[in-house]
Amino acid sequence: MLTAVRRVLGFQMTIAEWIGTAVILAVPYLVVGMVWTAVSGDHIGGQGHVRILSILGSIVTWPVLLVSTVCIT
Amino acid sequence: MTATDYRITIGRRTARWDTEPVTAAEALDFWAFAAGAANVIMQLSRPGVGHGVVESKVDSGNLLKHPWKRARTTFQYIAVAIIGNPQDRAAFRDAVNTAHRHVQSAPDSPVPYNAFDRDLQMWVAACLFVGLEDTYQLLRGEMTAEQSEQFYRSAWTLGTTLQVSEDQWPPTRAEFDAYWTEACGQVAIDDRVRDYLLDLLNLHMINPVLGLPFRPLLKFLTVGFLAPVFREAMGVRWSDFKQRWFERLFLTVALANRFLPVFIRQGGSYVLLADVRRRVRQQKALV
Repeated sequence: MLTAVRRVLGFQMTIAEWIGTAVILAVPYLVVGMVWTAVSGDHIGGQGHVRILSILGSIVTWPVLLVSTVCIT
Repeated sequence: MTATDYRITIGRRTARWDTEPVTAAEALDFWAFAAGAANVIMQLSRPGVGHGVVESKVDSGNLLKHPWKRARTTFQYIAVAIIGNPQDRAAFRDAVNTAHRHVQSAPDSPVPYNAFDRDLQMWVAACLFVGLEDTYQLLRGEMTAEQSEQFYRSAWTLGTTLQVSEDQWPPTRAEFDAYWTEACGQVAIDDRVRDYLLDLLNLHMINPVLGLPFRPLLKFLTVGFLAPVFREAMGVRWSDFKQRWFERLFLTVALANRFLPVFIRQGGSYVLLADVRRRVRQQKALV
């Protein structure tokens, strides 16, 4: 068990691999965010660029919005 | 024929990012399997291997009858040979020997062969090495002379996992080129073997719904990975136009591949190796 932990902690990746890993994780996260915002975007308010920021904020922070009723407008 | 007729020639390939020591284990990125069908053609273009496979009575290992199983066992062999430990290799050797015992030419075979023939096995191992070296350099750039030597030396288990002995491998990478050129002189594909290989290339062995969309891509990749000597023996055509697309494709794939973490690039091979170990533990058939 301890050796497995050590192996995971000692695992080396190149910067390129880290970027790729981040993209791979970000894509499904943002897709869920977009779907969730489109389906239950009642909290989206404002006009013009405020509205755009509100939508982007909702796509990025969807897990927070999911568990709370925080209004970011 | 000159030396360039025996290996593929790449005009533009991805740059080398490092000069660190390398081993063949780094060549197991899943894109490398794009060269799989080309490697089967190369292996079977030696008459003893070609007829041994085409006439084989071991149906469980027949590529055209059980394509998915054959794909699994072949890729497992490579995983065991390259990243397996000596116990894995011994278990796989026993399993392959059991199947190979049935592969001997009959009196009416046009070519005499025996699956335990060490020269034929050396040819197959050499083809696997050439395939790994070609795909590795397309994905990570050309190796330095020193890296080529390390890579070559680490790939010997491709043969020694079966009956090939270490002294059968030419001692240096340069001497391997001499072996390869000489061995390519024995390349000959007759109609029977060619029909078998064309069935593979046309994906006749898998469900057409699955096979048809992939057929043009498989043909493109396969012919692209064949050196001129094999293209000629197979009777397939290639052009400068296709070569440029082939190189462009691998420049793009190589760039994307740099960004993939190793557990995605090579995860498949480790899963296959874990499956081998599970089968050994549960005493289930390996091949």
